Amino acid sequence: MFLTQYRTLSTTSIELFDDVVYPQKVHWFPESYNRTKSGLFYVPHRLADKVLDPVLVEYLRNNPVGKTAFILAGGNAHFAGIGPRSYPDNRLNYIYKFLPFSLTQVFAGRTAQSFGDIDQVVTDASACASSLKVMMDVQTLMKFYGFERVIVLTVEDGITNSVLEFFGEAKAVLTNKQEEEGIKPSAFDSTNFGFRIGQGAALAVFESAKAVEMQGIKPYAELIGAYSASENSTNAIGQCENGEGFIKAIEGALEITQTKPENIKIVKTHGTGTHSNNVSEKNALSNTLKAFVATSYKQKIGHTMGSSGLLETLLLLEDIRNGIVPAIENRTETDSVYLSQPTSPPDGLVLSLAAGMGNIYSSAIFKGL
Amino acid sequence: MNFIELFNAIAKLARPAHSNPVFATSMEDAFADIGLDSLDGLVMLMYLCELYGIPDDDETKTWAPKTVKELYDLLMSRKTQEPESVEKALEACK
Repeated sequence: MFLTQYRTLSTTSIELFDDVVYPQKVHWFPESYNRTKSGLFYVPHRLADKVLDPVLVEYLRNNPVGKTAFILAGGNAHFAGIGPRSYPDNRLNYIYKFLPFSLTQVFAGRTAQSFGDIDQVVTDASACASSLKVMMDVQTLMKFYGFERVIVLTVEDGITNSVLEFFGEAKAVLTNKQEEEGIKPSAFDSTNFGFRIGQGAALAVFESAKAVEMQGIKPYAELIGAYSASENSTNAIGQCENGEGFIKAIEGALEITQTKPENIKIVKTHGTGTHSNNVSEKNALSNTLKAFVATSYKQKIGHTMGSSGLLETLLLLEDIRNGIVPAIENRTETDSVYLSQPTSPPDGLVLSLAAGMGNIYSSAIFKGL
Repeated sequence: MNFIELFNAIAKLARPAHSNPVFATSMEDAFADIGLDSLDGLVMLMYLCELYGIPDDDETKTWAPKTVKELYDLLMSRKTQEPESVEKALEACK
């Protein structure tokens, strides 16, 4: 299973939203909200358009390789930015007139048509684990059902009144008040913590060895395998601090791919920097792997919700190709495992982790090529 | 402004991105015959109601035109404004 094409969307730029229930800084594309009050535009679609490169879409349509699936990993499923409460009339309030297209499944089916003959359309709403969770679907479709190409689109707009309020209320995001007190987003750190929310999207094409050979192309990476798991918890928005969910996801991926723990050398953590994630993810990694370096991208681009797992993996694979594993930003301690400084990529496999509300934990193992 | 020209431009906008374009050549053309499905029709109606200044109300919700002419007649029956040109109409929809 080879990663042959991809496009990513993320931004490091930050803007303060002080007219939301929990004032906070976000990573976003302001143009995605242009004229949304007309009801003609839907923010997730605008973000998706930014990675649906017409040249790539046309290439895929004109170069069929066999059974093809389209997966939309939509995170918490698309909803029109309308929450249970009445929000101030700020720039994030909008309506959407084309109701059917705000449904994940309809949007998925319609987008899939652009790629030509599609044999299966899949949608996934596994919250913030969504885009990494579907790596298991990619694996299943290609290994057991003879699919030669699986196209994954992941998009979620976290910059809505309801999402910003939800994560503010859950004390998961870094509020502006905390930032004014000097706290910076980071993970696995004793001083800095937490994340900002960000908009993001990614398009990734996975193809079989036969499809790669047929097209004569050079893949970027190999998806060795993936696994998703849950944990015994009564709190659907919490994490077991013993790392049970992460451990099951990691061990599942190691087992299905027959990979030895010592072969994993680089970890893309979920890395939200919340207390419970810091503890549970660190516990899981120390209980399952040997020598590795770990990084996180959420401090740089924000937490792009459902898109984060795959999007961050693609960014890491790109960084590795450029000869670097980036540091976790804003670390205040020197740390050569949960990187406080960038380092050269050690030779070995990459493990990518993600977690989502609903006690969903996902992992995927990649080999950079 | 030629309505068929506007119709084709809006059809291109309403169809899934990067799909093959569909073209009407006469006012009598039926949507189904030129490759427009029910969702395409719904999206086009929304865009055109916006361009012709027609409010989204109980009456427009019952509209179900099947040909270019039926659509045109419905729009003309309630229009409060008119796009100046196809270019300006497209600009308003982007």
